Amino acid sequence: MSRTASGLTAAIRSSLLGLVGVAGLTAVWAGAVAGGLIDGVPSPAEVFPALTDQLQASELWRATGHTLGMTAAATAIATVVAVLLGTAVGMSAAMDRLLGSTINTLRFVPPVALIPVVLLLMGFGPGSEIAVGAFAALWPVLLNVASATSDLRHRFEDMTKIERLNPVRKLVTVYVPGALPATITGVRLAAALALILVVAIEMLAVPQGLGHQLRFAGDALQLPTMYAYILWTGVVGLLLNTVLLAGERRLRWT
Amino acid sequence: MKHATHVAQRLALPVALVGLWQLAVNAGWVNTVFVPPPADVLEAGYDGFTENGLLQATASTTGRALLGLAIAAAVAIPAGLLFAISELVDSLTSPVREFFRSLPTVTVIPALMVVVGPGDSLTLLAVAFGAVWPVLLGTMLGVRQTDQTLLDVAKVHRLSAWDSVFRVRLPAALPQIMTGLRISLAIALVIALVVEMMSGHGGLGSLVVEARSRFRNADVFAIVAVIGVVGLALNALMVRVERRSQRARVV
Repeated sequence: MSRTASGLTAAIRSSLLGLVGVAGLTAVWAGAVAGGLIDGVPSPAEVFPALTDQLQASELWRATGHTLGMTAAATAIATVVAVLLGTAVGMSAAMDRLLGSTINTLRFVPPVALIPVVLLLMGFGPGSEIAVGAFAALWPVLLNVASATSDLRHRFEDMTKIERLNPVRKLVTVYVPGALPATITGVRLAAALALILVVAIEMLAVPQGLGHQLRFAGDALQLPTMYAYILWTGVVGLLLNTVLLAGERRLRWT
Repeated sequence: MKHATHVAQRLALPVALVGLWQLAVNAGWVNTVFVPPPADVLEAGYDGFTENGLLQATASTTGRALLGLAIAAAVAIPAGLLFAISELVDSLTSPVREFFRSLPTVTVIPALMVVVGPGDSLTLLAVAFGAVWPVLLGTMLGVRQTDQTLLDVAKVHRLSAWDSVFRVRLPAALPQIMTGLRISLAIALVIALVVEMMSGHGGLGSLVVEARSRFRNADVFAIVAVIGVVGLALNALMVRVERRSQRARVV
């Protein structure tokens, strides 16, 4: 009892210190702008009202919905493809030889480099956002599934042979449940990457979503609005990570 | 014999993909304006290296990514050490860190552009901002996980606080720091490219945007391929350095 109580006090203390840190940084920011130390940065007194204004406008919510929708679609597509490929590569040495070198080449291609090519093929719309996001999101899931599956293959090789399981039963009873935790972690990392790429392509080319709003405000030199969008995008990213992490913990418990 | 079959299996898919690409062009499944044939892309790449400044652009992008990574490491390693050792500083900075780590780095590029203007300092700042997080986390994790036995030995030998940090904790954290650096390098390259794409200030990123706006699509494909090779090469280099650092643990 006293142990959990002291743990709680420590947690409260650390959260309070965190708030002090946030307040301190905001004060430094305000001071630096007021003292003329940095040019071209609006003060918190301009940015926070701009953020509350934007939060009451429908544009911000539509843009947020668009960006999160594209992120979700990209993550979903990447997960399906990655689970299929990763299971194949992990379960069979021949598939590993066939696909492994190509996978290990493509996964080091910086995803932003594909933006120009994808725009050529798919145009300046949601299709390109999903394609680029999915390419980035593919690798964490694929690698996690492949390594978890191949671990299982080496560990349970003899056991499943003894039990004479057919390949389908082996897949359903051994591989899928065994690789699930690694898959879930992969999906969390994948969604974070997909969000980054979706925002990037919106800033560079596709005129929709949070990235576009941010760039648009910047090009119009509405700096408080641009900073409001930067803050908001950070909050969205933080919430997405927090929700996915909580989801991952819950799924791992069951 | 078996070895030869394995090599053939490894090469089968890449060869098949290039074959499919050529076939798609020949059979007219794709518009060659948008998807140039493989031979045109090879030629564009050759011309790029011999006369169109592709080599210079490659060197400039790689240099910016590496220099930005060095700046990130110079900030992240001392900071990570401080956060790992002092609980007070860790708690004070934790929410701020979490926020900036979750913020897609690309979003700070327009803000930095207003402050420092387009140029090398913009690229370096943005790259360092994006690359700082994995090194920071790696350092914190590595220092926190220092083997208790090592710390006890340091105590027995009456090492000063300073010595126990710099001669025991930091060297023990080296493998995690190197892993952080490897992940950061991939981010550094991405951010360098995005800044170049947005500001048009030299490098592979602005080259590819320029080629696209002039509809020189074989050039676009060739430059993208070069970017892929740069990504692969830098990662291979970092993996080597990382392995060496793990073997050289003389603590």
